[in-house]
Amino acid sequence: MTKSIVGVTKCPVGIAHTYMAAEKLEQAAKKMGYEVKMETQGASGTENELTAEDIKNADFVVFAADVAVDGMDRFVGKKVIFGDTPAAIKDSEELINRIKDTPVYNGAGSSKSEDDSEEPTQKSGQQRPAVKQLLNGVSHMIPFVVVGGLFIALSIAIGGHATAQGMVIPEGTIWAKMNAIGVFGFTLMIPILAGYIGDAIAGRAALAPVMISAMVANSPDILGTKAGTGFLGAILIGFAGGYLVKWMNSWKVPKDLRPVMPIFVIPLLGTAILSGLFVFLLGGPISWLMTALQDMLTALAKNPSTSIILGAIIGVMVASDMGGPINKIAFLFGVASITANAPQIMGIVACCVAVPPLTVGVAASTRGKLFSKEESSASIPAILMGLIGITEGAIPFAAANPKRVFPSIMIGSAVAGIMGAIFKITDVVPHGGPIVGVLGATNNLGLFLLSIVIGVAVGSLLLIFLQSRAVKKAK
Amino acid sequence: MSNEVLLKDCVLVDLNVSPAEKNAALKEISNQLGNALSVPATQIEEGLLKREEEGTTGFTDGFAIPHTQVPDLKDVRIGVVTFENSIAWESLDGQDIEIAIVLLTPQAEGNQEHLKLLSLLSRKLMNEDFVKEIKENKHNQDALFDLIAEIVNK
Repeated sequence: MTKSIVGVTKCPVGIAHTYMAAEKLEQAAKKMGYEVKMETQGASGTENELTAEDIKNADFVVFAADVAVDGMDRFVGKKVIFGDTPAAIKDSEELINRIKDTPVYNGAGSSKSEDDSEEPTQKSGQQRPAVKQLLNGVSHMIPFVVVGGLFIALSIAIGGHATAQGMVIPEGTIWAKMNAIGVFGFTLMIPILAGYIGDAIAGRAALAPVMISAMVANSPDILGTKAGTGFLGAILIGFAGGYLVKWMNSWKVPKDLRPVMPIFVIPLLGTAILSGLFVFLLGGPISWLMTALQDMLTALAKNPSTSIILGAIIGVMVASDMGGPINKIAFLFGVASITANAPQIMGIVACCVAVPPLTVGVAASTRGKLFSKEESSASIPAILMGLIGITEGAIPFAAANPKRVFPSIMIGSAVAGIMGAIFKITDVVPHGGPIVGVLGATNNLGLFLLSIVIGVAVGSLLLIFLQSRAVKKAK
Repeated sequence: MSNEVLLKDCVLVDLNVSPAEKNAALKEISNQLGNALSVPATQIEEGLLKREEEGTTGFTDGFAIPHTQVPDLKDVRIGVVTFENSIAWESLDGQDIEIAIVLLTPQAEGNQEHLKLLSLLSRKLMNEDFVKEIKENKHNQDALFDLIAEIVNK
C-alpha cells in the first residue's frame, strides 16, 4: 500500500505562499512516492479540506504555515512536521524528510504498547479525540506524581513519626525538606494534568489560563470550601479551558491585535473567565456536597448494625476522587472519630486509602502488557505510595482509564472497608496505609494488613480482568 | 475598463530601477501600477513594503511575488514586471530577482473567483516548465501577457 501524507499550508495574506507551498509539497511528495492531499487555508477560505478519514489514513502530517493553522485538534495523535512556507517552497523534500525525527503531536500519552510505533495510525485512529487529549495530560503528569509520591513516601517512611496530628516529620530534618520537595511535585501535578489537556485542544495559549485556574480550583481558601476539586476538577478545567481558548482563537481580530492575542488577551481573559466560573459557581455545590456526605456518614455511624455499609461507603468515597471533596470528607470523618474516642472509623479509612494505589500498582506490575509503558513504569511508585497511605498514587491510572480503574479501585477499597469494619480495626493516627499499622497505631496489625490485602486482591483481579477484556476488544 | 485580472498595461518589461535593490524596485512598481490602475501609488507601495517586513516574497529561480491589499482597489489585479538589471531581494535561494509577479487584492471582500485565479497562478509558479517559459519571454510584453492571461483572465 502506498504511504500517504496530508498537510496544511497557510501564510499571512493567503494569496500566494499558501498555494506555492501546497504545490511544492504535492510535487515533492509524489516524486517521493507518497499519496498526498494538501489543505490550503487562504484568503478565499479553506480549500481541499482534509476529512477525518484523510487524516486517519495518512502516515503523517506536514504543515507549511507561517501563522496558526485552524483545526489543530484534528491532528492530535499524528506525527506532525511543523514547517513554514519558505521551507516548503525552497525544499519540500527536505521538509518531508524531517519526519525521521518528528514526534507525535500532543499524543505522547497515547502510546499503548511496544508495537505502537509500527502502527501508530491504526491505534490513534481508534482513539477518540477526547481520550487523546486526556492522555496528553496524564502522560505529562506522571513524572510529577512519581517524583512527588516517592519523595513524600520515603520521607514519611524514614523520617516520620505517628502522632495524634498524623504522620509528622520533625522540622529541620533532611526528611522534612525531602517531604517539602515531594509536596511541590504533588502540587504541580494538578495544573500539569489540566494544562496539557488544554494544550492538546487549543495549543500553547491554553496553558496559562488552564494551569492557573486548576490551581484556583484546588485552593479551598479561594473557593471558600474545605476541599479543592481534586484531579477530577482539573480534568474538567482542562477540557473547559481548552475549548474556551480554542473558541477565542477563532475570533476574527484585526491584524494588528493578532500578535498580542496568545500572550496577552487570551491568557488574561481566559483565566478571568475560567477561574471566575469555578470560584463563583463551584464553591457552593462543593460545600453542599461535603455537608450532605458528612450528614450521611454521621447517620450511618450512629447505628452499629450498619457498620458494614459504612465500611463499604467509606471505601467507595476514598477511592472516588482521590484528593477531591468526596475523599476528603471520608478522611475528615475518620479523623473526627479519633478525637471522639471512637477510632474505628479511622481504622476503616486507614484500610481503604492504601487500596487504590496498591491495586493499580499490583495490576500494572504483574500484567504489564495490559498497560501503557508509562503506566507500567509508574507501578512501583504507586505501590510504594500505597504502602505509605498516599491514595493519589492511583491518579494517573484513574485519569487514563477511568471506566476500568474506578470500578476496580472502588470495589477493592469497599471490600477493604468492609473487612476493616468486620474486624473492628481502630487507628489512632490520622493517616492510613500499612505504615500506620507497622508503626503500631492500629489495634491488630495482622487483621489490618489482611483487610488491605483482600481489598487489593479483589481490586487488582477485577482491574486485570477489565483491562484484558478491553485490550482483546481493541484487537 | 474591463474586469480582467491582468491588464496589458500592467505588464512592465525591462523596468529600469536604480539602485537595483528591493525598496527602489517596489517604489517603481507601485508608481507604474498605480498609474495603470488609477489608484494612489503610495497605497500600493506602503502595503508591499509592509508585507516584505513580515517575510521576503522573493522565492527561487529569480522570481518574487510581492503582494498586498490596496484600499482603493475595486477588484483583484496583478502586475507582471521584468527588470533590466536583476534586483537584490534577499530571496529564498539567494538569487537576485529578474521577474516580479505583483498580486494586488482589494481591501473589501474580493471576488472569490479572482482570488482562486491568483492561487492557481501561485501554484503555476512552482512549475518548472512554466517558469522557464516566462524567463524565455522576459523581454517580450505580448508573450508575457499571453502566458499569464491564459491562467488568470477567465
